[in-house]
Amino acid sequence: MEKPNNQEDFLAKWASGELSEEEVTRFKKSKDYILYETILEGTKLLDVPNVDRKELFNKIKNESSKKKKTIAFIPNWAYAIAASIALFIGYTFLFNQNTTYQSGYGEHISIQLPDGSEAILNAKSKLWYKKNNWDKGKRVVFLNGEAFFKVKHGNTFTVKHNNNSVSVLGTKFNVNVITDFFEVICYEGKVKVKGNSFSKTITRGEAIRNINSSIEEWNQNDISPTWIIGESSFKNTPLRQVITALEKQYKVTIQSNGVNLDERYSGGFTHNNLKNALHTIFDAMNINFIFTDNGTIELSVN
Amino acid sequence: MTEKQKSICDEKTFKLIFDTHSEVILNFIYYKCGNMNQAEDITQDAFIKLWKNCKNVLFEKAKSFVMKVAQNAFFNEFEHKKVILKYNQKSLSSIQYEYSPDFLLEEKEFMKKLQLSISELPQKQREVFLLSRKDKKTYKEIAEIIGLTQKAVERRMHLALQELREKLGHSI
Repeated sequence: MEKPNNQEDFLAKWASGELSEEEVTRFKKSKDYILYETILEGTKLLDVPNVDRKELFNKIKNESSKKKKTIAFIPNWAYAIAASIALFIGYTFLFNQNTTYQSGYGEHISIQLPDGSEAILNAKSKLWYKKNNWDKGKRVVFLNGEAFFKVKHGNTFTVKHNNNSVSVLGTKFNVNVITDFFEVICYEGKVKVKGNSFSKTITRGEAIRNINSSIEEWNQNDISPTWIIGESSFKNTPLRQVITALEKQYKVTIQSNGVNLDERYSGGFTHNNLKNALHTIFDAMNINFIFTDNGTIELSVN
Repeated sequence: MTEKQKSICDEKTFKLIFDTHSEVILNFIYYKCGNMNQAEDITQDAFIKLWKNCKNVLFEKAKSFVMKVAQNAFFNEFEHKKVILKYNQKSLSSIQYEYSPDFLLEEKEFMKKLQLSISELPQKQREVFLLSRKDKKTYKEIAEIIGLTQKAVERRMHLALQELREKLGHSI
């Protein structure tokens, strides 16, 4: 079969009706014309599967409003108060006048404190306070895990974990405390950070952390932590903490199998796709991972 | 209100964007992966992402934003199936009278071949061919969707048609 034309977009032009009359007449005389015409006509008879787009839109709306609630303090705090009730899968109870909030795997909880200050708990974190103290004007909360605070101006506001504490008057900051790891990032105002062996005041854009008694400081430009919008990010953070964060977000168990957990990782991982998250972290670190039959993820050095 | 002032965060505007572009995104991803459920998931996520970022995305960039997110998501998921379009038999006879020449197979046979041939096209040719013929997109619009020049799109279209002719020609 001979080609109708050597021009490399000839058929495209013909299909879209952009050929000149003369060209079309010539083409009609060629042997393949009818076959081409039949291909186009036949294609018309083929159906693309139908999607109920109305339903799809509703799904999107529902999903987005769900997600919006967890990050609601950014556009509108009023939503977040509702969200803290709606999303409250953790528990509150009054025991010894302790009010406790606990988030599950992959959950974020928005909390409004008695003075109107706000806290957002990252996955698998716990925050509690003694209501008594607050009635007396002492603003103290206890934290195990990670939380972002937006504090109203007033008396000293303190976040405590064992011997570490963060004190402020009114500002925005993120605290992450787990065993042997204490990290504070200040997003607004001034924050006083105190540990066993150190005490330091940091301001907007500054960050500090204490890993096994060694202090590190750095700067950053974000206006709020990225985990609030569904992506955890790290700067030169030991792999140990990154893995812990991953486990909390996805409810998985990761076996390190001799991988050096003190190696540092800079980067992030997404909260909505485990496989992507694993690739992002471990590809960068040159570490292999496999899902085992018993539900854990095993690491090995490349 | 001019388009420039439209905020995607406004639900009406968001709905408008969805109504205007969701179908072609769905189909586009479908033409790539051959799995409408997957295309739906990807489209859904892309629009959720748009909503989440509604403050940062300009109205006129919304379409390309969603396209980009959807395409990236597609690259991340690797479950590709054969793209076989359903054959709507009711309208069969329209070919018969006008176009069916003696040497053609019976329409049914021909349509089966056509379905198969389309599914066997290289993905890049198939998406251009179907966006053009099923979604009635101009080459310029397709170029925007895929992120290519219009010339390249036209070349792919040409190749797709040639390829189809080659495949179907053998059956004569």
